[in-house]
Amino acid sequence: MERDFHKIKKSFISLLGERWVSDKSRDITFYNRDLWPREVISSKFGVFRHKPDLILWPKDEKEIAEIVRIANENRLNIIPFGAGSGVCGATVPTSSVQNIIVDIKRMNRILNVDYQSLILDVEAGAIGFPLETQLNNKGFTLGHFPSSIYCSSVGGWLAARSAGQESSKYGKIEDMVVSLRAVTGNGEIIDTSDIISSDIGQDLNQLFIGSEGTLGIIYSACLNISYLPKFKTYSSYLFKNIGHGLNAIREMMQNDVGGTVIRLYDELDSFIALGHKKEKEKKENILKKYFEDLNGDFSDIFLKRILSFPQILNSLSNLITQGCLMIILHSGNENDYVKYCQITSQKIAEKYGGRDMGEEPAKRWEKNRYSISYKQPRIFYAGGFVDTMEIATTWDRIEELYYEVKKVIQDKAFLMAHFSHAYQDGCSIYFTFASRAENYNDAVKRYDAVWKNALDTVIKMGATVSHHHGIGISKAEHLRKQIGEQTQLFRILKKTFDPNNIMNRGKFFSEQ
Amino acid sequence: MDKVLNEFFERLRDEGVQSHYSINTGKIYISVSKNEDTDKIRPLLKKYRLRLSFIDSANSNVILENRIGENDISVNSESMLLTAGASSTILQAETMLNNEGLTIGYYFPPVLASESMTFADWLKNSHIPSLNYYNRDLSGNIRGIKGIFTDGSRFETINAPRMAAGPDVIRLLLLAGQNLFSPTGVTIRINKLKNDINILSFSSQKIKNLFSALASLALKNVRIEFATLYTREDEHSDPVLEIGYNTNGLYDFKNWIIRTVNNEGASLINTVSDYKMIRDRLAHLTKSECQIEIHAKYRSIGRLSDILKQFSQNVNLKSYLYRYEKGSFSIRVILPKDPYSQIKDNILAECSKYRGDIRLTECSKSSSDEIPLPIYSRIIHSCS
Ligand SMILES: Cc1cc2nc3c(=O)[nH]c(=O)nc-3n(C[C@H](O)[C@H](O)[C@H](O)COP(=O)(O)OP(=O)(O)OC[C@H]3O[C@@H](n4cnc5c(N)ncnc54)[C@H](O)[C@@H]3O)c2cc1C
Repeated sequence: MERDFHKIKKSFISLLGERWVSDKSRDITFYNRDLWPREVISSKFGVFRHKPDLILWPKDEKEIAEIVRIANENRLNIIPFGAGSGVCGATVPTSSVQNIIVDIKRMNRILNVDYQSLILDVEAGAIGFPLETQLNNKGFTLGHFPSSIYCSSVGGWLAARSAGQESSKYGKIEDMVVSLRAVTGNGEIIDTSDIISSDIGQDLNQLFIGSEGTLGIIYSACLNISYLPKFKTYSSYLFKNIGHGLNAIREMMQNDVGGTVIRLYDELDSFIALGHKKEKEKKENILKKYFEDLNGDFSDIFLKRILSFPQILNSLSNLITQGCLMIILHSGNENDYVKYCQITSQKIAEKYGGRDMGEEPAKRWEKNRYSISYKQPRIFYAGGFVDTMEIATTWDRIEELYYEVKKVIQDKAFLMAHFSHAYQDGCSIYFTFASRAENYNDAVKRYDAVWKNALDTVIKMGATVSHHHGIGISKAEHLRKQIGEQTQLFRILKKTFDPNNIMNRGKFFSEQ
Repeated sequence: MDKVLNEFFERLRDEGVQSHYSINTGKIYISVSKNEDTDKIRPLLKKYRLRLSFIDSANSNVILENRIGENDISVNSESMLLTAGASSTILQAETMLNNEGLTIGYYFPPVLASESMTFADWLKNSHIPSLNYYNRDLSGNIRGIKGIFTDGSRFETINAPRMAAGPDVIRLLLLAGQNLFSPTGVTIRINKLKNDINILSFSSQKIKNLFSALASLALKNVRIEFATLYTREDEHSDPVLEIGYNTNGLYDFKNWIIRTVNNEGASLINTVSDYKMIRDRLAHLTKSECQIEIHAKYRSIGRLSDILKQFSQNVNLKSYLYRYEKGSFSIRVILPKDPYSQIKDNILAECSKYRGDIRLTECSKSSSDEIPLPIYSRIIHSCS
C-alpha cells in the first residue's frame, strides 16, 4: 500500500515538479483543517483527528485534469482547497482512502476584464482583497466583501455560496456569476459559457455553485463587476425592539431602497456597538464591561470566568433595554438617486419608530468592517470557543425564528445576533455564540449541543440551515434530515460529474 | 399482463388508488388527486421495483397523472411570495394578486400573454428570460417546488430567500423536468402592482445606438421596469427602444433614462405604447416561425450591429429584444422562410467568428426535451 502511494506521489512530482507536491509535516498540519471552530477546539486541546496525505499546488487546468485522472485511476480522495477560511469543515479530510489536498492558490490571475460588458474573468485561486484592490484601482468593484476578504478565494466563495457585506446591492456570489470553468470529477473540462446563450439559461452554473468541491474543481469564473460608486450616504437608527427594526428592513427592501449595506443588531449586539461611543461611561458600567470584554479588550482570566456561565450572561443581557441599532449605507453614481433612497429609507425607519442616530455608527461599522471576525482567537486562548451561525427564512417567520433559536441555546452559550443580507422575500440571521468547558470532551459536547439544538429548531421552522457559510461536515447531518428524499438530487449530480466519488468524499451525502 | 405489473395493479386497487390498465399499451395509468394516494403508491413501487413515469414514453409502464393541488393559490404578502397548485393558471393567480395590489410582474415576453398557461407549464418554460435585467430568467424567481419523484416519494424544497446548502436543487429539478418529478405546487417571488408605468420611446437610425443604450442602462443600474427593442415592420423606419419605468415612487427616473439613452445617440420620440400593447406585440413576435436567437455581450454590440446590417442588405430581417441581462442581451431575429437554413447558416458563420462574445441558437431547439448538449443529456440519464 505504502509502496503504491510512493509511486502515486512520484507521478504527481513528475507532473507538477517537486516544489509543488508536499507531505512535509508542517504542511500536513497546516492543511489538516479549515477554520471550523470544532476543529479549532480539537487542535487547541492537541487532538488531531484528520490528516491529509499529500498537498498539491497545480498551476493550470491541464495539471488539475491530470491530477483528477491519477486520482480516478488510484481511487484517491481529492479535496479542493481555496484559502481554508471555511468554517464548516468542508476541507477537513475524513475519507478512509488517501486524501489529496489540491490547493489552487497558484491560479490567482485576472485573465481579462471586459470593461464594456463589466465582466471579470478571474482564476479561482485569487484572494478577495488583492482582487478587489486591483479592480478599485481601475474604478470598478466586484461588490463582494465577505468579512474573510483577506483570507478567502474566488473558488471558495463559489463552492460555498458566499455572501459579502454589500449583498443588498450586489447580491450573493451566485448572483454575480456569468459563467465558470471547472474540471469535473471524471476529469472533463467544462466551460458553462459554451452553454449559456442557449435557451436553457444558466442552470449549469447554479449546479456547480455550492457544491463544496464534491463535483469538481472550479478553476476560473466570469463574474459581473460594477462601477465603483462615487456617492455614499451613512445612516443609523435605533428601534425599540427587533420586530420594529425588521419591519423597517422588510419595507425598505420591498421598496428598493434597502441600500448597499443594511444591518440590524439585536439588543446585546447594539449595546456593544453603541457602547464604544462613550468610552468613559462604559468603564464605569459593570454590565458593559462584561460584554465589551467579549468584544475584544479583555483579560483572559476574566473572560474564562464569564464564559463558563452563559446563562448568567444571557440573563444579564436581557436587562438591556437600549434598543436595536440599524445601520444603512447607500451608494451609487447618481447622487440624486442615492439621496432619494436614503430619504425614503429614513421615512420608513421613522414610520416604525426608528430614532435617528446620525452617520457615526454606520461610519464606525465601515471602518471596522473586517476586524471583528479576527478577535475570536482570544476566546479560544482563554479556553473557550466561539462560532457563528447564519440561517435564513422568509419575512413572515424571521422574528419567531430568532427567538426560538435563542431560546434553545441560551443555557449552553452566550449569544448575540444581527440581521444582515436582506432580500425582498426574507433575511438572514447571524448568531455569534461563545461558551467554555474545562476539558476537550465537555467542550465538544457543549459545542455540538448548541448546534444540534439550534439546527433542530431551524428545521422545525422550515428555514435554511445555512445562508452563506455552506454545509461542510458541520451541517451535513441536519441538511440530510431536512431535505429527506431530495438527497437523490445530489446523487444525480454526483453520478453525472463524479461517478467514482473521488471528489471531497464524505461531504454532503457521498460515502466516506 | 406481466406478472409483476399485475400484482402491482391488484394492490393498487386494494388500496383504493384510482388506476386502470390499458390492454392496448400494456401499461398502468394511475390518477392521484390527494397526497395520501401518493403515499399509498410509494411502498408498492418499492416492493415491486417499479418507477413512475410522468410522460407516456416507450420505456415506461406505470404512468402517473397528477391532479394534486388543482386550484389552490395562497399569497404571502408579507414575504411577497405566491404559492400555487401546479394546475392553477397564471391568470387565476394574477387576478387574485391584482386584487391585493400585487402582481407576478416579471416582464417575461411570452408568458403572461397566454391565458391558459398553468404553473406546471410555467416550470417547463422556466428558461424564459426577462426584459428587466434585475430578474434574469424565470427560474431565478422560483423559490420553491413541491412534487412527486419517480419513486413515488413526495418532496418540498426549502423556501428561503437564499441558501448555502449545496447546488441549487430548484435548477436541477427544472432542468430534469418530467424525467425526475411531477410538480404539485410552486412558490414564486411576486411584486407590487405598479399602475403608474410610463413608457419612453427612443429611436435611432443605427440599431447599434439602441443596443448601447440598453447596455448603458443596465451597467449604470438605472431602475427600469422593462425594455423592449424592435425593428419595425416597415423597412424604412428606424428601430425603436421602449423603456418602461415606474412613476409611483418618489424618484423620477425619467431624466436619468433620457440622459443615459441620449448619450448613446438615440433620441426621444412620441410614444403611443402602453404595456398591454407591448405585451401583445411581443406575444405575436415570439410566435413567429423561423427565428434565431443571437446572444451578445455588451462589448460586441458593434460587431452584432455590423452582422445585422450586412444581412439586412439582402433580406428583410425583423428583430426584437428577448433577453436583457447585466453584461449581455439577446435578440431574436425572424428570418424569411425561404431560404431559412441558408441565411441562418451564413449568420451563424459570421457569429462564430466572435465565439465567446456572440452566439447563435435556433429557437426551435429551445425546449429542454430537445437539448442536444451532452452534459444535459447526461444529467437526465443520471436521473434514471
Ligand atoms: C473571519 C472569517 C470571516 C468570514 N466571513 C464570511 C462572510 O462574511 N461571508 C461568507 O460568505 N463567508 C465568510 N466566512 C467563511 C468563508 O470565508 C467562506 O466560506 C469562503 O467562501 C471560503 O473560501 P475559501 O477560499 O477559504 O474556501 P475553503 O475554505 O478553502 O473551501 C471551502 C469549500 O470550497 C471548496 N473549494 C474551495 N475552492 C474550490 C475550487 N476552486 N473549486 C471547487 N471547490 C472549491 C472546498 O473544497 C470546500 O468545500 C468567514 C470566515 C472567517 C474565518
